[in-house]
Amino acid sequence: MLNLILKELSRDKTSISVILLSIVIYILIVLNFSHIEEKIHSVVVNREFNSIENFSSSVLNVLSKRLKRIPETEIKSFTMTNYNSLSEILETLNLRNVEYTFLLMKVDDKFMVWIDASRKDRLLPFTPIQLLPEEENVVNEILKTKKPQILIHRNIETMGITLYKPFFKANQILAILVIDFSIQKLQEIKHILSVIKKSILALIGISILSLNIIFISAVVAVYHHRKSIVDNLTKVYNRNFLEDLKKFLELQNYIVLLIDVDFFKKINDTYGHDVGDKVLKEVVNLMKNNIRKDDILIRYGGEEFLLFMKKGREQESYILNSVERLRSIIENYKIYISDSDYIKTTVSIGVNLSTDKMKDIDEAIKKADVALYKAKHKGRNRIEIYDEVTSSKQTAMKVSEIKQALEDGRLVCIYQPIVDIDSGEISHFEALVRIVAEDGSLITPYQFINVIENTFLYSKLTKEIIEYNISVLNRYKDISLSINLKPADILNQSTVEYLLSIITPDLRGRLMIEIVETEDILTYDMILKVVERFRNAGYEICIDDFGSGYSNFVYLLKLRVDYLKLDANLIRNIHKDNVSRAVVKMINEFCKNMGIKVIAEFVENENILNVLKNIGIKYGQGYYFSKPEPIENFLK
Amino acid sequence: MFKFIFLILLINLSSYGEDNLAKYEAKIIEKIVVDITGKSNPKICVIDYPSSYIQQYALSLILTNCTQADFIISSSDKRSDYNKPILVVGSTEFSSHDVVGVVFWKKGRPQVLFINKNIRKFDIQLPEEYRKYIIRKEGTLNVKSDS
Repeated sequence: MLNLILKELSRDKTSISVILLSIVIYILIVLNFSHIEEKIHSVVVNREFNSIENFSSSVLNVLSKRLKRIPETEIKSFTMTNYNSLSEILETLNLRNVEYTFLLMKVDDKFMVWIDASRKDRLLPFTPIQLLPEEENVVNEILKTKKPQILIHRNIETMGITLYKPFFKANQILAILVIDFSIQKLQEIKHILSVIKKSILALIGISILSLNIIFISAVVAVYHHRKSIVDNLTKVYNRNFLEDLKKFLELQNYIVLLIDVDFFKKINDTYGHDVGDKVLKEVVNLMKNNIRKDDILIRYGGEEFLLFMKKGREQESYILNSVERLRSIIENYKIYISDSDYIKTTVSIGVNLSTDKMKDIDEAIKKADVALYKAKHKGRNRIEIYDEVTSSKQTAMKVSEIKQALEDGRLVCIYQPIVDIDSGEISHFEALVRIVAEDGSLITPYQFINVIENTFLYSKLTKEIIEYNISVLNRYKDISLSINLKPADILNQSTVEYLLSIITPDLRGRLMIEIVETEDILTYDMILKVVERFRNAGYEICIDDFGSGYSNFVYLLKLRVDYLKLDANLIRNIHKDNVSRAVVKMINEFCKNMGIKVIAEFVENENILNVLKNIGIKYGQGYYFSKPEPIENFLK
Repeated sequence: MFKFIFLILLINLSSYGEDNLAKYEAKIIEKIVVDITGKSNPKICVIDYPSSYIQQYALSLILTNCTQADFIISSSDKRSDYNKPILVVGSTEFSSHDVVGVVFWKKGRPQVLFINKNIRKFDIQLPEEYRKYIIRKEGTLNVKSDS
């Protein structure tokens, strides 16, 4: 434990400085304690001698009264009777620890004992006495100030403390009362002082120690907390920080962005985790360098980042331009993986501008996630904004609502035809899942697939879709359908077994399986094995969204698919973009050689169709032919 | 047992007190002899006075026999045959003509006196700071016995 604290403290220069400073302060206090000691000494001595001085005043009053009865002429030459009576009065001052009590006179710069009441070493009246040098100073001072004084004898060990008190006659100092206290008295005071000194030093020491302990504990606590909320790799906040953020963030002052590094798994798999880490670090640095001080960046997941961007007085368009600039900077940045080799990466960004309408941070993030999902689905490297206007329609469903919809049998499919471009005839239909809302409107998959992904409801949903399409195939014997499966479905044992055992062989020939091309599909040998089993069972296999980023011809060969559906991104601008056209042409040539039939999606207009015709693409799908509709509409 | 410890303690304390007085006496003797003789290492001899304190606390003084000594340190004013200046320590008597000075204690305070006539006998030049301690009358100091 101590080692741990020391190790952590050694990282924190402030803690070390504070500890060293407190040690220096303590040493300075100890070294300069003599000043404090002097003060305490004076307080203790004054306290100790206060009562003695008061008592001596009373005694001197009595003495003064007695002296008034003695003739003036006798003051310098007492009769034995008068001297004894005066001496007896003075003797009452012989208290415990008092060694000598006498009245001192100064005559011609010499000191003489006038009346001596000492217990021992008693002198005759007017016996000269040599005072110690420091005593002479004190006595001369009293003669000037007429005030009593106390002297602690530090230069000689035969004496302790002496009280000097002026004795007045007619407002003039006649003599000075001297009461010598023994060494024992001094030792008593020294003992009291020593106890007080030790107590004060101990108290100061304990206080400083306690303050240090409190400080160190605070530093350690802050260090641990800081460690727990900061991501080790990228040094930005991690997800734990969100909990802290919820306590103080004024959400309405920020817009929420979810930023996902595109194809990050592919980067990791291709170049290794070190490069993956480097990519994340570089992307984070780019983001940090291009956001403002008030913005808050959080590593939300593996390659997903949450950015709270502070709203200013700027227009919404200005903010979106900033987001676009960020996206563009990342897209154009070269991440060097060696001296000469570099890679580029892109990000998909989901933006939630309407944070003032959000209940809490979680809801704001969820909406940004919906936008991010759209951005990824639309081909990545793009920004999607959570649409406030359509939010009432497109708000993500709750799990309980989806569960209820499945239980109520409100799951339906609508269909979009895949058309033979040359003949114009429908080849088959792609089934597109919808949930019928309670008001009868159709809810798109964007609003529920994401919500139940990785839950038991997802596999249930998949089975419901398959069952739905089996019933359609049973109803309409002349049509073929295709359904979309994600790699997660293919890896789900029960879904696979359902497709292989429950469905009769004659239906398998009319049900095509479209495997959505994601980063996962190419990495799992397991998928290859399952696809092989599907093929052997009589299913036709289609790769969906080919060209969206993960395309790999080697895997295409391994999968031995029947159809290949080109991604909308390749087709969207094919009538304007030579590169898209060349790529599609090349893929088409390859597929022809391999015996794979090519489908182009997003055939939105005649211009696109004509280009596809020229290239020789076999099938097309898109709004130019038909929007998705219930199957019955095509079979009237 | 307790009584024994108390006794030991008492002896120790009293010897401590005596030791203190002797220490100051030795230092006063050293200063007076060095100042009067003007020598940095004057020679002295001791009569009826413990030499151990001189050796311990007055390091510049050299103990020797009284014939060779510059000064004689004695605890009484007994007449000596050496015709050397005597410094009497611990007594107030100075009847001997060889006694140039006395060192004694009054109420815990060290007292020093120089006898004018005897100083002149040895032709001693007293430094200025000692002049206030010179007495010109003969006899003893009027010290009353303990009551």
